[in-house]
Amino acid sequence: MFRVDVEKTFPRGKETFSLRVAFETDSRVLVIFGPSGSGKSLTLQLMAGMLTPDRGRIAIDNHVLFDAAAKVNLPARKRRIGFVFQDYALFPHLSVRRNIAFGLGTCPKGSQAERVDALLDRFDIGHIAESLPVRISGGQRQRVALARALAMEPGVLFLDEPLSALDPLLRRRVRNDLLETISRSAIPTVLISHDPEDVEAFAKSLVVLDAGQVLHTVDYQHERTAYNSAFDMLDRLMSPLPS
Amino acid sequence: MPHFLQDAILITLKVASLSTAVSFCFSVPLAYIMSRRALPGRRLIDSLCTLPIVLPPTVLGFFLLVLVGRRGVLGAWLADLGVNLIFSWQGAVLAATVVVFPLIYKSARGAFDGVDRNLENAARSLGANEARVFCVIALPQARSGIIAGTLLAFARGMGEFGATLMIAGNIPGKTQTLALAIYDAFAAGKDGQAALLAAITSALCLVILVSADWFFTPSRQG
Repeated sequence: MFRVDVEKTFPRGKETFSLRVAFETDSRVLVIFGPSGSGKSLTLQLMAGMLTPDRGRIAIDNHVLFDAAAKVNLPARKRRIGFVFQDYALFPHLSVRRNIAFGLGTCPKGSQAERVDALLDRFDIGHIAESLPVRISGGQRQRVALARALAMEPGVLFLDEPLSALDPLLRRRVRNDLLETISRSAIPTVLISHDPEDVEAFAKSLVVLDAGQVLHTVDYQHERTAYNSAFDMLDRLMSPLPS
Repeated sequence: MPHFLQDAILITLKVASLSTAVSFCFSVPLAYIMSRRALPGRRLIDSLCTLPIVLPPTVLGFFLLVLVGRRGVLGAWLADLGVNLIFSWQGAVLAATVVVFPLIYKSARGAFDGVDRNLENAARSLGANEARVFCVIALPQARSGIIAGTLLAFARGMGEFGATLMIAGNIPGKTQTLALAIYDAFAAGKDGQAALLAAITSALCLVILVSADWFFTPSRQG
């Protein structure tokens, strides 16, 4: 499903940060877990084509998106990846409705309006359709971002810390909604998080990142049974390997 | 209204608006590219684009003469095309364009630097090509800075003197702007006329700035 083997060096102040990420997973929902600054977001942006790796290869569902050796580099707009950003990145000058319609640029106007109405309805945001993003709540913003990403019927959904901007009570509710959305639309999903509860809720496969390197790639559902809790498991995976 | 005065006002407005428009068309896309791409020599380009702010306008006028004057580098070529910029209002527009260019460039560059890249990345992930990213996301997000720079450029274009004088001369009814007419009147000892022209210029600039401010104040954008 997700086949990634890339390298990129970033300037970070006077130092450089090297990202070397390689993993292969077959399940449809992948969670990339790691502490802040481990390179999770960068990995996701490399996969989405918002950054270009120095070398390597990226394939999703047997579609090659990037291959340095074969000089393949599909631009972000052609990768059909629905991307939900950590801060949602809603267009501040466009209404909720126009935000959601943004990815439907090539559809005829009539069917475009129908699609947007259906999404407004499905995510229960019809009453704020004409509002600007600054006027709506955090939970509503999250739903708008999700509706916008799903509007163009993407092949994959990328979620960059989709719950971290929400307060804890809301987070739980939105997490359940998100789970339902993912399972209902059966869309392959990559979610990044530093919250073990997200891992527990979403992960079929799990990639653990630290300092720009992959520590583990595991079949989460299978290996989780050996531990009492997600916390225990992640704690173990993050600690240095016994040698 | 005396004839020369009417002419001077019209020429001033024509030169200021055309030079602002031409500058805008070049400086805004350039500012965007400079803000987004790591081009080789970008520091040098950035400095060159800022140079007209610090150089005396007469130096700019001199460089322009070297470039497009009758014996200039491009002079013969322009003459073959039937274009003569020297002592013409088009020359005045060219001079003012160069003078006001950095004002729009600088503020547009700063405004584009301040746009959240994730908004542009979000647009790309939603299938937008680079032209759409620029027109629908970057430009509206950077609009206040760009408008401010454009107003400043227009106001500066209204008062342009040195470079215009070098290129276009000071021909009443043809290239004589308000700023040049004031100098003329003062040099000829017509203090009353100079005072009138100065008052008109000030009033005109004030009206433009106040109405622009009224027009573009965020609270009126809804």
